[in-house]
Amino acid sequence: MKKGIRALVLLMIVAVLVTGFTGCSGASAKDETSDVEQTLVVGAAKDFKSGSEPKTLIFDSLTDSLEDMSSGPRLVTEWEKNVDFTEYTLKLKEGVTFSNGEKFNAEVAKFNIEYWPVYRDCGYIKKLKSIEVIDDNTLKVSFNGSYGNFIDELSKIWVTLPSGVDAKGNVVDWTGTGPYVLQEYQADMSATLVRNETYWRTDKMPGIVKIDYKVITDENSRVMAVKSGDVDVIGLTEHYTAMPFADVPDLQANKDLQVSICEDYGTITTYSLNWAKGVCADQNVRTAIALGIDRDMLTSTVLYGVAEPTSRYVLPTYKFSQKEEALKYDLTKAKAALETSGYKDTDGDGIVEKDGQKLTLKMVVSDTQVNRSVGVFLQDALKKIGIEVDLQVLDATTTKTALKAGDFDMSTSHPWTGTVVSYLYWRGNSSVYDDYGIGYGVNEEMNNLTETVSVTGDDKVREEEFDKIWKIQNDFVAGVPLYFSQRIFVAQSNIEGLKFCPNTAEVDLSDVVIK
Amino acid sequence: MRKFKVKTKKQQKNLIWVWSGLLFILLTLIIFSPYIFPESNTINYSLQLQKPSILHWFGTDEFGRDLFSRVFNGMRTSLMYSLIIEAIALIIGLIIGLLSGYMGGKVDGFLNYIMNVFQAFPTTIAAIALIAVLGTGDTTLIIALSVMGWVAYARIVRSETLIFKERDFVLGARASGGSSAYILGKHIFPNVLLPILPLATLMIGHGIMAIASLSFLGFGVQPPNAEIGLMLKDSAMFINRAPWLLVGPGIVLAMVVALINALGDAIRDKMDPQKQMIEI
Repeated sequence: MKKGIRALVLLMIVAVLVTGFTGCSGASAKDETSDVEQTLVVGAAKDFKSGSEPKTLIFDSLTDSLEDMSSGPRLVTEWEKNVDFTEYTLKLKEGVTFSNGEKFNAEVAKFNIEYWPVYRDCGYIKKLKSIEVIDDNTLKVSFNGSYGNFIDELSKIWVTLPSGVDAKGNVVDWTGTGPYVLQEYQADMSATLVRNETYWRTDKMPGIVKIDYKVITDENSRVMAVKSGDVDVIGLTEHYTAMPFADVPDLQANKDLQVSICEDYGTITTYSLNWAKGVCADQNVRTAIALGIDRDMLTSTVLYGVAEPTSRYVLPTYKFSQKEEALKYDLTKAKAALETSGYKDTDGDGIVEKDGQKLTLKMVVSDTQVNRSVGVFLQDALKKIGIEVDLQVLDATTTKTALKAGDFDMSTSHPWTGTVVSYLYWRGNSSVYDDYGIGYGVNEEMNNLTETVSVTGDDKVREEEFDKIWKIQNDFVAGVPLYFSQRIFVAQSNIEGLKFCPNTAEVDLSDVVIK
Repeated sequence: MRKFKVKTKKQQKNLIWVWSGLLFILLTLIIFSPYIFPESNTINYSLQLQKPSILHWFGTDEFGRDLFSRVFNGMRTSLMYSLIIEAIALIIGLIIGLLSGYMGGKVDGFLNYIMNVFQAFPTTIAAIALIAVLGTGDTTLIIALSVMGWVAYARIVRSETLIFKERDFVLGARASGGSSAYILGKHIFPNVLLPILPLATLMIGHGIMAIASLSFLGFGVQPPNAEIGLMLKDSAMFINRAPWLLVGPGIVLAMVVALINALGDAIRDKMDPQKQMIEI
């Protein structure tokens, strides 16, 4: 009996010790593999300081983007707003410090809310009246008129030190409150990051201790790098498909690699139509183009079945997205639309004419493998409805110059992306030429609807207003959505815990471990 | 002990005929490719990325287009552009070389300085810089490579002009009151043409390579037109999945350039007695 009690006591002591050692140390699954060096080598398309994503490893945003693209707490933990959305009281997280030891407080938050909106396309700056520091952790923000989108837009404010920026929206001191600290940086070459051991989000403390960020600009070379094991992961720091679609099936078949394709978040590749001048100023020509493209064929052939065909501007998973698909492939209707505008093929060469002028489009695309392939596909597709396409594949800088000058009829563009409301303020209601073609501010009603969306904080009202916006866009055809361009991670098989963020521009390594 | 063997005139002639014959076959396919292969731009997705076969000797590309026909159509584009580029470069080089050699003095010094400046830039880098300023396109490509290609011609023409302007027949023409334009056009120009013929032949090959390089880098010919550099660039994406896409264009490019270069060498050997000796 005594022996039995002793054995039981011994067992209990062992159990308590085991539990204590594993539990009290705060160890998570990531620490179980501490014998494996937790250094992640990332193959990236862009310079560390140029891309949208890398900064999210260093800095924290004021609010978080949730799965439906609404906002959750982050550095701003709570908020209250008055009935007409003219006043907001923000509660800030206490005890947060930058990696150099400086405190994050209301003064720092105030600076960031005032400084960043012009560089991050936040509409609230137009109505911002004042920001009052109530105490170290409380701010009162007042607007000249109602502004319902304020909290959502705070997710675009990545908090820097007030002394860490210049007068033109450039970060000069990369010290943040985020999960990593920038240790070394070589422009256009590489960066080394080490874990911020004092990171305030203990639940998001990453298991990866060090990140080697290697810039590999050529997409084929990036694929080769991950295949050869030179890098652990590619596609992590880009919010678009950062590899040739043709390689994806091969990569999926490679047993040494794992391929993760994001089905829920991401952008839809959309071509811009120059609705303000030239041949695409004709509504029927734009409609014919939208109807003349067989998106199923596009994705199953030159995109190798990886991308998903769609005629929506925004994925249905996002808040305020289109409920229905827009114009779908219909060759007969496409030809009829051109005929309505008086275009006919009179000389039998397959290209329609009007007033003796052949219908020729200048299509400008930036030089990537996917753009070239899609460009040739579109050229062939539009020829079938009688439109001749002069395809111009240009380098990125020349493309932007051409688009900004309005020197195009059809072009690659920037997709509608989350948050949908933020995009509305940026390009959604713009009617000027920019680096991405021309915006979607096609008429006065778009202006009115944008104003209503910004004023209200009621999601039901916004939903209704967005239904009207999508109706205008579907009817007007200012752009041609083509396919859902998923984010794709390709990683070595021993990397676990990679996940996609609702905020497409954020890199979340909190669960990543190298086994 | 070094021994030298002198190529006989017959051997030189035979060599030129061999290279010319092979080149003729290839050039026939290249020049008449739009008529021999009229469907090279026709897209057929059901034939996407087919392996080489009896029907498609080099396989098919991602649009199901026959690669063999596209290679020859592409080479036609490269060859045509290369000929235009070399013609322009030759004309500029001739004018500047003749003026520099004949005028001498400050004019020669200034033109020499210009030549040194142009020669200091690597051709491809300078061409990319020019394209960046002028914008991408076929015309820009031709301008960029012509602008950088004339120096080699100018240098040879200048040195030949320096020799010929001291010859008795030129001195005689000058003594009898012949104008500079007359002497340059009638007496010196015909004599400097022959020495630059081998160079012109070699430069055609260089031109094809330069066009292919620029197209590969995205500064050249626009799709869907076939061009070797562009085809190699597009093929790079399929290096694992369809490696044959690289083989066909690569082989034809290498063959054409090697044959043109061999022909240029043979012509040079024939025209330069000092070069007729080869080490054995």
